[in-house]
Amino acid sequence: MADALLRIEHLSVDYAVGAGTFHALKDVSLELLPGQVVGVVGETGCGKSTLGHSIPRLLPEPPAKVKSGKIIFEGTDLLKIPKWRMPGVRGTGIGMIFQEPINSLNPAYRVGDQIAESVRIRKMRERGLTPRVKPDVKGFDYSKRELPKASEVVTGPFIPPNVTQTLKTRGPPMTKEIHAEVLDFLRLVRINDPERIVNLFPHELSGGMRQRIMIAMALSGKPALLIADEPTSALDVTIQAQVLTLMKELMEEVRTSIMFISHDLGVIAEMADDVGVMYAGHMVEFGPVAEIFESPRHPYTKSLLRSIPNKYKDEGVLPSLSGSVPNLAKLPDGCSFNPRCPMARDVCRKNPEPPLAALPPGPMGEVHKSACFFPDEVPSMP
Amino acid sequence: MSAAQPLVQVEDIQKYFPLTRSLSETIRGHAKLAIRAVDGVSFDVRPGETVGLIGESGSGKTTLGWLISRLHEPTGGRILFEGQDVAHLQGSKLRAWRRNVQVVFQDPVGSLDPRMRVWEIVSEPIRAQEPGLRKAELRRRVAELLPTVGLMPEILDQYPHEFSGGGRQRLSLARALSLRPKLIVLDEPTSALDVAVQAQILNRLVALQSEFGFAYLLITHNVSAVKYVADRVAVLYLGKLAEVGTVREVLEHPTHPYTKALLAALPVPDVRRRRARFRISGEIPTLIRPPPGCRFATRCPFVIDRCRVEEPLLRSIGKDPTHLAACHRAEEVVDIPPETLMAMEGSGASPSPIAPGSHLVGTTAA
Repeated sequence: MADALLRIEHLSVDYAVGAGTFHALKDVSLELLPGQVVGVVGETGCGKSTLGHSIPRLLPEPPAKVKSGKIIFEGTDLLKIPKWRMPGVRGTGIGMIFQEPINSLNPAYRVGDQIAESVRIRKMRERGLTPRVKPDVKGFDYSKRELPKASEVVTGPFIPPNVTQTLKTRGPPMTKEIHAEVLDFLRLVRINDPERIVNLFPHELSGGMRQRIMIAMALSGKPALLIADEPTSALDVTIQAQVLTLMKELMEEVRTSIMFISHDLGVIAEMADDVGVMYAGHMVEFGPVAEIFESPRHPYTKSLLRSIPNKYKDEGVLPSLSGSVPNLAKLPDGCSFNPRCPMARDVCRKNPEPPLAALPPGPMGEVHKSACFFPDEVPSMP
Repeated sequence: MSAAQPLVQVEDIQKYFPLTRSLSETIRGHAKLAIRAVDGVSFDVRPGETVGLIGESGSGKTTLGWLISRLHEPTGGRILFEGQDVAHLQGSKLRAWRRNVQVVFQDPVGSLDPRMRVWEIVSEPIRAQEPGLRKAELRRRVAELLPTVGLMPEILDQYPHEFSGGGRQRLSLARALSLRPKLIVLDEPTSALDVAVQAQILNRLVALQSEFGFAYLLITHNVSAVKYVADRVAVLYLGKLAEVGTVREVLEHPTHPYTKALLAALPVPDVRRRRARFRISGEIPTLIRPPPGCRFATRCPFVIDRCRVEEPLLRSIGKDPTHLAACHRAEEVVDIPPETLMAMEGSGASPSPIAPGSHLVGTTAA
């Protein structure tokens, strides 16, 4: 167990905004072994993306604040190292694919140059050099509920814009070696005619192509861990099927571990080895994909699986989960799922949040954890 | 069922969006180009039934919905609403006709005016159709309406931002119901919602239909929603119908290769079925110069030379006379289940996906 690529221990993240403090993540623990895919699933507002963004420390701080916990990646706690060293981990250590490819690609640069940048940085790091990092611009703490005074706004030193650089739509010239590598990565993500595509701008590509460029860019850093935050939610089903198949094939070719975040249970069933189910900032269930989908041991997982429409209207009403995700600033007393839970009783309302506890191991010794007071009653849930 | 007069009958409807030419292109005599969003579609909706319209983005689903609700004027063809051609209604006649058809839009944020209170939003169609009603009367009508979509009458004076996505979609539905229309066009009503909320809305839609008896045109890419709500399904590909039939026929015995591909591409929450999937290669081609012959020929695994030349017409396939498909090889492929398609993946597909921007390069270079 010591050789986990990523181990998150008791991570809690708050967002302090004017309206109150939102507990976006509370006591979340997770483990990812090399070469594995861990799926994270839950409704909107459950903290899935906060979890994904907290690992490479991409959360906007403030308003976000990591309260406690450890994020141990390849043996180092990422929360302990100074922030200026984080860019050294991103890209080559932890790659990321975001939901909206159009918002994550720079519209002013050709896609080839954007991939080349990632390749170039990796090559510098392989030679032991550190790329220059832009000065950190400090944000303002909005939890103070007052507008910042001019003297409080700290910005980096003024750098006169390099006009020739900003007007150019090309990055630094690509060496033959880097150019060849960019083409290789485009071929890797099954882009035909890469010689033409490298010279195109993001707006000239379709959604599926852009997402492939994002994947190529993330992979070109050769990261040990790839965090995919809803990578196919903006795509059509046929294109989604292509991208998912591609990601599966790439995993075997490149041997990257993936953290796959999605609200789509079908996609998670397809991709993940282990699945973590999140609800209101808590990890409520964790286990192998077959266990989660075939014998869920938390009422939330079970309700979520049931509410997928899979019948005709003459076959009766769809079972649905009433209510919605609670406000993260005022969670209900006791188990945060109790107002929507069909099995809730007094114990669930009075006791503090049940911890994610391991169930008796299955025949194969697999670990299945549930944060429910009555995990054994879930199979017979009404 | 065939005896009943259809509520809406769409005949060979077309909608072309012209592309603008630059002055130099006009002078040099470049051809006028248009995006053929809907290119000759015929189908009907009977009173009280739900027709599901499925297809990828760019297939013309939304344009077709907007044509039927007359938010667009068609370029050609007829829309018969209870026997009357409404395709080119204008002015006060169009306004009077609008009470028959209402729309629920996809985006629950963009479709509600953030500066209006709930009662103002929901009563807006009533105010447009019956001007001069007093505020108290409007509020009373809205208060009566809200429980039918599962909202409390106490929210009359709240603003849309105070609601979650599901709540906003209920408001949108209440607004569509306010005039008791004969047809409601649902344009991706649940695609912005989580599964749990989606099930609540779908249940509500079915319950409302059995209570009030209006017809739905459900436009979506979500096949499981169509399965639950629809009576009949129409599959749209590149502005043309690929397949039409009852929901059970189309989902259980898909005939057109595109329908098969679409169904096979769905991620199913069943861990035992993973990997047994087929994917069609390539992306949806541009609608400016659609391929001659069958429009699916560039991606179809069963393509033969005839498909690239001759356009297939919708025709009845198999035992059920209402099950239509537009495929030359329908009889040969009808028995191939979607799952086995994976072995024959992309044999005839064009390997180069066509980027949406590439037509622009083509226009200027041609």
